[in-house]
Formats: sequence, C-alpha cells, structure tokens
Amino acid sequence: MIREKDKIEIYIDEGLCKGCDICIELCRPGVFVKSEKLNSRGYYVPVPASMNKCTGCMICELICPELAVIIKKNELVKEVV
Amino acid sequence: MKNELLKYLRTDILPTEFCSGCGCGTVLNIFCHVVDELKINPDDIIMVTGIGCSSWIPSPYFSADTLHTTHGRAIAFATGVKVMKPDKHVIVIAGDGDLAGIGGNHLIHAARRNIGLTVFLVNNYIYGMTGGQVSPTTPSNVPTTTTPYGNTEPAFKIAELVSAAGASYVARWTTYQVFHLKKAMKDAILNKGFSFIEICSQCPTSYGKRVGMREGIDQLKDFRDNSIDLKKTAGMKDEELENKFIVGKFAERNRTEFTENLRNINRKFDEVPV
Repeated sequence: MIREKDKIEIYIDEGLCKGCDICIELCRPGVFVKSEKLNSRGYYVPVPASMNKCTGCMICELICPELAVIIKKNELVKEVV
Repeated sequence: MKNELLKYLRTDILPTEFCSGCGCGTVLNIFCHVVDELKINPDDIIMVTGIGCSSWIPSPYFSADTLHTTHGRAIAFATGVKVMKPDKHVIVIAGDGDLAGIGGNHLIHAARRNIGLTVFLVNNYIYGMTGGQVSPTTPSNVPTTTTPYGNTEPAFKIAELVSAAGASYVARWTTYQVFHLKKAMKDAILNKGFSFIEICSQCPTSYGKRVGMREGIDQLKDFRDNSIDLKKTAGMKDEELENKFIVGKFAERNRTEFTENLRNINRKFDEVPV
C-alpha cells in the first residue's frame, strides 16, 4: 500500500509471515491490525490499516523475525531518520 | 512485493524454521540490514557456527561461505579460518549454550588473544533446541526440563566476562533495542580486534513458557521494561539489578591483534636470505 502524502509504502510478504503479532504490538501509532485472512501456512497476517499514522520509524521492518515487513520511503524521509 | 534483503539469504528454504516470534529471526534481519548498509560483499564474509537454534542464522539461511561445526567449537574453527584468511570478515553467530556453555574456554581465550573475529552470541537463556535444559545463562530459580524445582545456580554474565578477558569491543543489547543493536553490529564488524555482542533474545517455546511469557512479544515487553543502561548502574546495588538487563557498551579499547602479531613474526624470518 502507498500513502500519497509522502510516499511511504508498507508491504507485508504474506508467504513469509508467521503471525507473531510483534509488529502489531510494538507499533506505537498502531498502524497494523490483524486481518481475517489466513495465509498459505495458516497464520492471520497483519495489514497496514491506518497508513496515515505511520511515522516511518522502521521498527517493524527491523524487528520482524521473518523479514516479512517492507517499508519503502523516499530519500528525504530516510535522511531525517 | 519481496524484501530486497532476501538476496542475502538462501531463499529456497524460506520461510525460516524458527518458531513464531523467535528472536533469532530478528538477529538475522538486522544482520542483513548491517551487511547491506556497510556494503560488504557476502563473498568476503566467512560465517562459522556451532549447534543450536541461533546457529541456523548463518547455516543455512545467510548465504555466505559457512562452516557448521561441532558443538561449542565455533570459535576454535573460526580462529583457524582467521589465521589463514586475515583479510576476510570471519563472523561467528551462535547461542549461549554453544559459546558460553560448551565452548566457554574457547570464548575467553579468543578474547585474551584479541583475534579479529566478530562474535554475536544470541542468548536465549536456555538450551532451546534440545528441549529446554538448564544452560549457564539461565537465571536462578527458573524451572527448566533438567531443574524442575528451579535453577539453583546463578547465571553467567557473559558480556562482563568477555570484557574482563580482554576483548577490544564488547556490548550487550536485547532484540527490543533494534537501532542500538544495528549500530553495535556495525561497530563490531568494523572493529579490528575481537568484537563481541551478547544479544538477549526471546525464546517463547522453551524459555518463555516456563517464566509465564508464552509469546515472543511478552518477552520483548519484558526487555523493554527491565533494561537498564550501563551508565546508570553505577552505585546501584546487586539486589536492584536482579532480573534486569544491563545493556550498553562494556568495552572499547585498542589492543594489538593476534594475526597481525603472528604475521610480524613470520615477516622477521622471511627477511633472512635463504
């Protein structure tokens, strides 16, 4: 999903996710929610429901144990962080 | 959409075999970020590892030249590799049972020699892969498979031990402090001497369920709430620091490196005309 304002993109690799909920719990603004959909391995994957709250802090991408969260930011945002 | 960092992994065996919420995956993730940001060619990395859950990070997941060695002997093998290939990054990622328990002597002697290895010890406080037996880092009073009435021994403080043994870079971080851990991993890889990071990691399957934290996120919240910066611990009593995670940089010092000393001696004899 792409946010129009500053082009922050959040993707979840559904094939890799194991539904540990770390990204849902540790995201302070609460961007992710658990979806109703099962992935191929039988886990409920998270979805970035409230994209506008994302600050681009990158914690979810770094802490994901399965490399399943991908955050793409434009260069300007990256420099500030 | 695929993660760009998957180019560093052996992707045909993904997703990983780690339990859901395991900290080993976080270490793998941050290590991939570090290799990417330092622009290290994976061909210049030689990974050495032992036995255990965290030994799965280099073998089979991270795609570099890998030595998967016998239990506890990762640093012994890595010493040989570094002496023969001093220009390569020799990186050891293994667990607490492997490096501090069975291979504890190799660890302190590598620190004493100050050989240019980078060692990441993933400390999950238990022998996780074999079913949750007590390890040298298990805290007191924790029930495990082999100590069902609680562990009667105190735990090893590995970062302090390696720092006292003379390593040139020592730090301890948990898997919750991802940015500090990433910075420390970069410093450790770029440091010339023996660099050591103890990474406190969550193990929901073998350790967490015995201390009432059944999910990985519960242990991460424990790391968040009970971590203390090393600089703030001065003057604090041992009772206050019980069950706390003292994080920070324990040592950064300049010492001559082992392989350099070895090469200087070799050069001395090379100059003698035959």
